[in-house]
Amino acid sequence: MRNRLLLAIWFLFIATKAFAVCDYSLTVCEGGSCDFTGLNSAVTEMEIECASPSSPLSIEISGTWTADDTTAVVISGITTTSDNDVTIFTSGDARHDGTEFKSGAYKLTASSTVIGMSVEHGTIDGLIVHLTGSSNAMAAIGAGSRGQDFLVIKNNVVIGNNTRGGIGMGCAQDAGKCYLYNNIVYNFRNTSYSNGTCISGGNQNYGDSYIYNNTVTDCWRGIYANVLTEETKNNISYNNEIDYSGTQRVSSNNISSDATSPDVAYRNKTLSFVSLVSGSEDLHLVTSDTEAIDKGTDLSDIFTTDIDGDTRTDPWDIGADEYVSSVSPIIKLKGDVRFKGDVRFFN
Amino acid sequence: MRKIIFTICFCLITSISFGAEFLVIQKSGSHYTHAKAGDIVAVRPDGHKWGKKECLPLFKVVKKPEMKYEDAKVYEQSLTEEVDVEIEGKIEKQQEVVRDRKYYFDGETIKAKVLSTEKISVVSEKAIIEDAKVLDAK
Repeated sequence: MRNRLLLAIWFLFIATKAFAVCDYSLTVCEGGSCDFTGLNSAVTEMEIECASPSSPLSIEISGTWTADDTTAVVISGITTTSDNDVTIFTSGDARHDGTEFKSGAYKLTASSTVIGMSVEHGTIDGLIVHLTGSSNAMAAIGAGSRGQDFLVIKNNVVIGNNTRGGIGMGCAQDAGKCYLYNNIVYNFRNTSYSNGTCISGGNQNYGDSYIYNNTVTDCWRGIYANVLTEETKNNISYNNEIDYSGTQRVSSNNISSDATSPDVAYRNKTLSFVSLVSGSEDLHLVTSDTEAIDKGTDLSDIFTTDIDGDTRTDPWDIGADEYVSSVSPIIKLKGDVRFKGDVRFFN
Repeated sequence: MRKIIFTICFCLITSISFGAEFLVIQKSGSHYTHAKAGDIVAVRPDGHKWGKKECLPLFKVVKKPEMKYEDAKVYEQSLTEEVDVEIEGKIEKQQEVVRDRKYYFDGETIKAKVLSTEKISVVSEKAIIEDAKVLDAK
């Protein structure tokens, strides 16, 4: 009896060592202390071992990064559902601060399409993605597959190779539901060939795109979409050759620096950012801004925070950043003041 | 003064990447786009500290001490093709990924998958690398 038990334990030990099984939560960091040292390796394992998952899949990128992850990533061939989807996200020191310049943050850099996302249910959250390639055909984040998709690309900083065009982030022409929100995208402008798009919500009358609270600048096209159902709300498209193009079917509160915003009252605006200088871009709003702060519409049915994780407060700001004062509130009390029960102070 | 010269020499030496390591998958994925056994998943500098799962049973590390890391990076590309997309009456190119990985180890050489007339099917191209030393990651 005892021998059989030992044999069974030994067999299980060998089996788990010899044959990898689906691990639903994978970790990525530098230095060898996580499961993987690059995102693509983690995705490859997930594709091979978890092609038909029975639980949600996640890849967490954490820790301090001293160098870019330079391997392009393709996510495909995983049969996801609304319950069993794929999420790739950053946490802790690996999370950016709303710019591409935070020391230690995770940055995925490649010279061809950096992330190709072809699963039906997936989320990419909080990455810095840099396309350095020299072809107009490439995308920093290309999301596209068919049918009842539910793709979410949120809270990312996406940068292009300014002279070569390409696409910052795009839903494929036949994608299903594609949500793009709280992203900062810039430098996809090819003046020689009149192309380059910061955000493409899709094309040719297929799929549904929901483009909310993004801030995009310095592209040939800022925000483009021509899909079956499309909502474009609370976006800043600024200093592009053409800020908005295509068919913005449902829109509100979209700011443009030119005369192309689908919302007439938000056209030809001048905004105040921390920095628009090439090489030190910081598209957070500053306190002096009068056009984007408190000028958005409430989308809290869909999300409640901004690119930095700050809570959106009513009235919402337009763009990826919800302005938060860095000055701490001062509360002065004088005289005989007494509190009782649950007392809270809000800024 | 000697210390400064020594430090400069040390920095110069350590800033040059000697050798490359290839992370190679050992098992084929079920979908036609997936990496197949032998495919090169990642390329890192010689001496890279790999993760806990970047080893057998799913991965092996192939060391190429004589190959410069910067030259080896080309072997971690995806296999892609460009398709025409019409945007506002104008044809633009967009890149589509055909297979996760473009290069693979076949025995001790690296070969490239190339697109044939049928989109899914791939054939091998000329051998590029020889004398690879195959090691486990851990």
